Amino acid sequence: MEKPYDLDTRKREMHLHCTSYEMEAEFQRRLFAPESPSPFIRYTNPLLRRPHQERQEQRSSRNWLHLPVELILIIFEKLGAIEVLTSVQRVCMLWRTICKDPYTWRVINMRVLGFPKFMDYQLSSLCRRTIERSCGLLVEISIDYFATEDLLNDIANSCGSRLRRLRLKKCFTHESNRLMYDLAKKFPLLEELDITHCYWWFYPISLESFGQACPLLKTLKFNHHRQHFYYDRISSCYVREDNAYAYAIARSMPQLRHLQLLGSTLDYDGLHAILNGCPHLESLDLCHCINLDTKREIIIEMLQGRIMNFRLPILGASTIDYEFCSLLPYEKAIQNQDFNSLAWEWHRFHQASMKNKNIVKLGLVVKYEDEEVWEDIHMIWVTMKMRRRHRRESSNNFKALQRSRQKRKETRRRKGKKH
Amino acid sequence: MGSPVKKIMLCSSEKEIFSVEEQVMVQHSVIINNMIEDGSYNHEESKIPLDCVDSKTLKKVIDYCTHHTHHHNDNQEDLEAWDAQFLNVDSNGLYDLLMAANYLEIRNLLDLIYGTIKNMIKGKKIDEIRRIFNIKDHGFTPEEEEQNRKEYPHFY
Repeated sequence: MEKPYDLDTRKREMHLHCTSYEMEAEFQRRLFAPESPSPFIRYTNPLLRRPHQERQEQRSSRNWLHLPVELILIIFEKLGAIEVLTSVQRVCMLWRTICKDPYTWRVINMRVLGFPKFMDYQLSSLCRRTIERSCGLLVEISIDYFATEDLLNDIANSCGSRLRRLRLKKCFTHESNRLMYDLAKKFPLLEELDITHCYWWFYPISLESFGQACPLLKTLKFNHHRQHFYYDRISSCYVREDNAYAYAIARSMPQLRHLQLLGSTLDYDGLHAILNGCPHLESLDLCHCINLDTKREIIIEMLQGRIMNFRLPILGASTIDYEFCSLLPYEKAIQNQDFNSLAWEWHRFHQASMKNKNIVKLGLVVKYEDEEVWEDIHMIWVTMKMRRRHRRESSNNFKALQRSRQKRKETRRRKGKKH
Repeated sequence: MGSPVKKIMLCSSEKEIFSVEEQVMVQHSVIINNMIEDGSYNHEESKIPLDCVDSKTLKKVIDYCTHHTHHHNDNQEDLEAWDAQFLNVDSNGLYDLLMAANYLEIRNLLDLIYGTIKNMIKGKKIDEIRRIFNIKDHGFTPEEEEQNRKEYPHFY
């Protein structure tokens, strides 16, 4: 017995029992009835619309809801996940429908410009919600400030198997220093790893475990803020530390194509190891690598003919073309001054900082009086203080050392007086 | 001795015909570049019909392309100032420009418009966004809307 094709009653019943027949009927009804202004139809098939006709009907005011979904998606992507999840998804039903679609969340961009003032949004729980919504389709994620190991674990468990790009910026969690090996194994398809200005939690051995667990890894960005605090640049422990990263890269990532080591303190040995360990390297960025600065000719000789694109370590060089450049304090300065005076400024600044450590803070703050930048510098300052405290705690005989130094000085003075 | 500048004809939705230097459009618009490369455009006879772009918008788009072709060596700041002046339109104009740029695939203009829209949305309250984009029928049921307003008053 055939059912009567009465769509109005069908529509009413649809919520109660949805058989496939009814679903199809409902879909057809929506498909062939463009006069009903349902957002659903626009969302499912933007090609059905006739833009010219609609335009003539609504010449007085355009309806932004009629934008093709691809364009809305691009706008949402540019806005970033935080904005979309907080206000945009409550603007209208269509935008909310788009926000609930897993396809919208294949790329999650949780960037925060400046210091996050609105921690009350609970960024990590927001991030977890986007990951839930992506239903495992997540391909690319970038997180600023709030990536902890727990959050990374969640990402790995729910959608690590598809993830291709992982970008972490300015994440500093002091407490998590467990090995990352288990975590790295959950990202088998990872192609790009970007760790920019992260402190402490990323050790050479975890970099190595990422290299071993992700055979497709082609791009590594491992940048530091270290060019700011000049006074410990010569200290040999930092050279050794960054060389350890370089050796880890050389040992575990032979397939690497692009490498960015902004502000690293590796020296000649580390660079040599990387060049030997990664034969497929196409681009290498050594901007602000302070310990390589003096041997520029040797480095040019080493790199020429082997690597297509390379960027030499030049102190105080413009970083305006990096995507995170707004986070560096030179941005304003470079816009106002020409490069020469900036370089001169750097030189003087460096000399002063070698004599008196407090000038590091004063000089930067006075010079770049911009709110966002100031916050940035302030944060660097805080981390510097924390790092100093950390160092002090770690070396038990720190004070003993100081005392012995003072004694030595005094004895020297006495000797001088005697002579 | 320069050869005479090649021109192409663009026809807007109001059947108004604009003649533009070929180089200008080819450089910016992917679609027109493809058409010229295919050889599907005949310089003597044919004109390119752009049915979903009206005259006013087409004129603006041509303005943009011409300026960015002839002034691409200019100071970056000047160009940015010009762009800001160029996009100083109401939301209807912006919508038309977006659709036109999307249709003609002018990447730079698209990026510029996306940036503007982003700035229009960023940091605004929901009511403001609705007003800016002229969204009258938001499609929520009154109960949902009320509940949202109660739960998240700081977004409205």
